[in-house]
This record gives sequence, C-alpha cells and structure tokens, in this order.
Amino acid sequence: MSLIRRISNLFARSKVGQEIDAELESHLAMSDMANQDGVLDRALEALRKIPRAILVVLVAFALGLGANTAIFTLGYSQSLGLYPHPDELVVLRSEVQGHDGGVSTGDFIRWREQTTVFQDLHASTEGAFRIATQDGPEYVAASLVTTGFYRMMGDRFSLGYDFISEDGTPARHRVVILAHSMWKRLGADPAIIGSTLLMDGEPYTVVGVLAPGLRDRGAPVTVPLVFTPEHLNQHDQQMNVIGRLKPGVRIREAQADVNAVVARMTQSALNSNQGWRVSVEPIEAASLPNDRKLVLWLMLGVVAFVLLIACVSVANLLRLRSEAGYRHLLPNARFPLE
Amino acid sequence: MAKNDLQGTLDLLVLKTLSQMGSLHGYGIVLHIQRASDSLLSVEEGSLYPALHRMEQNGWIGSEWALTETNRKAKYYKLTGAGRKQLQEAEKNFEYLVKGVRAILRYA
Repeated sequence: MSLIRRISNLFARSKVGQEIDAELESHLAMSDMANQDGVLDRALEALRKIPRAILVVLVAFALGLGANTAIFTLGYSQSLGLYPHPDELVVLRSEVQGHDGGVSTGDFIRWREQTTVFQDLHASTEGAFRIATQDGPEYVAASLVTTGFYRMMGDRFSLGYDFISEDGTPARHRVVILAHSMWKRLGADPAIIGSTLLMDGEPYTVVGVLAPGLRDRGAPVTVPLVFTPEHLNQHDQQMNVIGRLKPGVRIREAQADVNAVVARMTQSALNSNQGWRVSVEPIEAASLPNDRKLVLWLMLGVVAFVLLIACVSVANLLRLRSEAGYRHLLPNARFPLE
Repeated sequence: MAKNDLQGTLDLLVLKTLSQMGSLHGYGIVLHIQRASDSLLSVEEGSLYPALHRMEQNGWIGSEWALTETNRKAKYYKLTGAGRKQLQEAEKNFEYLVKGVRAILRYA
C-alpha cells in the first residue's frame, strides 16, 4: 500500500467513523422505539418461552395452594371469622356433673354484675312469632337478645341500628330487628325503620335491618330479651351466654374470674346444684357442632394431601428432567455472529 | 479452495437479505435476519456497520440517507450489480463450507 493511499485512508477512516456513529445512533433510536412498542409482545414472548415444565410446576402449586386457601377460608368464615376480634368472643357454658346444665336468667344477671373480665356479656334465647308476611300469616323463629348484643358481636346493619338500652325496659320492649332476608320477604321497603309490624297481634316498631350474610341463616326477627324482677329467681330458662373479653384477657384468667363468681353463688345457696361448673370457651370452638368441625378438618386434611401430591409430582418431574439432561431446560441457543 | 470464514457468512447474510428485501437500513437488516432465522441468528450492530462499509467500499452495495416511516434519518442500503455477482459467489462458497464441515463431522 502506498504512503499516499495510507494517508488518504486516515482521513477516509475518520469520515467513515462519523458515518458509522450516525448510523449507530439511528439504529439505537429505532431499536429503543421498537422496544417500547413491543412491551406486551415481548412479555407474551417471554411467557411462551417459559419451559412447559415450569408451567406444570406453577399450575400444580397454584391448585394445591388455592384449594388449601379456599377450605381454610370456608372454615374460618364458618367459625365466625367475619366478626372483629373473634378471639375475644367467648361462650359461657354451664355444666352439672358433666351434663349440659343450661343458664337461667338469675345466673346470667349475677354473672354480668359480678365478673370483671368482660367488656360485655349478653344472653340470647329463642322464641317464635306469628307475623303477617306477603304470603299470609306465618310463624317465624325469633331471637331474643339482651340489648347491645349485635353491637358486641360487631354485626353491621343495612338500615337502622341495634337496640338501645331503653329498648330492653318493659315500657319500650315492642321493638324488632329484621334479618336482611326477612326484610326482603316483607317487601324490601327502604323506609321500613319506624314503621310497625304486627307480631302475635301486637304492634312492634322496626328499629333495624341486619346486613345480609351470616345472620340470614339464623332467626328472621330479633326482639329484646326483657328481664322482669321475678326473672331473678327463675331457674327454668335456657339461655346462651356470649361475652367479649377485655383486650389482653386470656381464657384462663376469664375462667378463674367466672369460677370465683360461681363459687360465691353456690355458697350463698342461690344455686343448689352440686358439681356445678361454668366453662369459658372460645366462640369458634363452641359455635360449630362437632360433626361439622370434623368435616372441615377432614376437608383441610384432604387438600393438604393434594398439596403434598403436587409437591411429589413436581419433585418427580424435576428429577426426570434432570435425568433427561439440562439442555431441555435451557432457552434456544443463540449463535452471535462476529 | 473457497474463501470461507465467519465474516464471509455475515456478508452472505447481508447480501441475501438485501437481494430479497430491496432497500433496507441497518436496523432493518438486523431484524430481518433475526426473524428469518427464527431468532437463531443475531447480528451485533458493532459488527454489522463496519461490514456494511467494507462491502460498500468493495462496490457490492450502495447507500443513501433517507427518512424512515417514522421520520427518522437512516442510511438505506441496496444491492449493486457487483453485489449480485458476489452473492452468487458467496452462496456457492457457503455450500462448499457446509459440505466440508459435514464431511468432517461425519468422519469424526
């Protein structure tokens, strides 16, 4: 190569260099733009490139975990997971020599007066009323609850409010709270609060409609549980007692408090039963009948096994793939051209 | 014996692309090779542009600056008569290369 050619090449090279720089700049600009345009395309492309083995693994785990979550959620909602701080809610159950003893009005009133571990203690019992519905008169089941029961539980109302304390007094006891489904059966009147409903021929004022959900499975109507002075010495009523523990109080502490009150009552001969015992139980353990609980545990066990089987399948799959060679798990080979 | 090396392969790919697509800018050439080879082949822009300039100096391709569809300046390349002949030559050489490599692989 002659000297002149070399020198001219030096200049040419710098010109060529500038050209290449300009071209590269335009190249990069175009590929940037393409990258922005093709974000979705490239995401789908990446998804398609995921080896089928990994998809199978993902689906197996998703099914296993999904089934577990579903059953657990079912169990939790069945056992009153819907209520705020369900761990504070307890049931007081009376036992006489190992048998269900029932709770009388007198018992309840004294527990409420003398225990110190509860924020709130409420009683409920069942009854029935003859009510005129759109389909004609019918008997409907009723809950009788002490005023403030729904407030303690944390129930929500679609319309109106829970009973106020005056509703429990004999002068103002003809008030009623409707379950949401009952409100619909009565015509779903949005202005129903304050109107009267004939129950057993007596006018009751509607003060609230419960939110739809769990309560629709219970009694359609709720009226206040009213205590008259003569109730105090009655022993025949069968009541359910539910309380909300003060924050931080443990079941054991509550049990000790209740035991002390019960011991005093037995000493003062207000209750003549020998071997009388009142147990404090968490509400989720008390609210489900044992056979339902067993079914839930069985279902949880079954889905746990499903997850286990999924894990075994995945392990097998991975083992087979590693035996077949790693190359199948690698993306397409690329041969860069220099 | 035919002249065969990897650089020859890149030239062949570019020439073939231009003969099929007519006029293309560098980025278009990269995309075409990638798509036509089902992403098996990738051309680095760092090797492509020097190669294009070398091929232009050899007179196989011509170029001119123009605007893309998106109003961006880009240099478009086109096959020349000499390039068309060179393409035939390169295709033949590549066949020899493949044949030769195959023979070696079979022997081993």
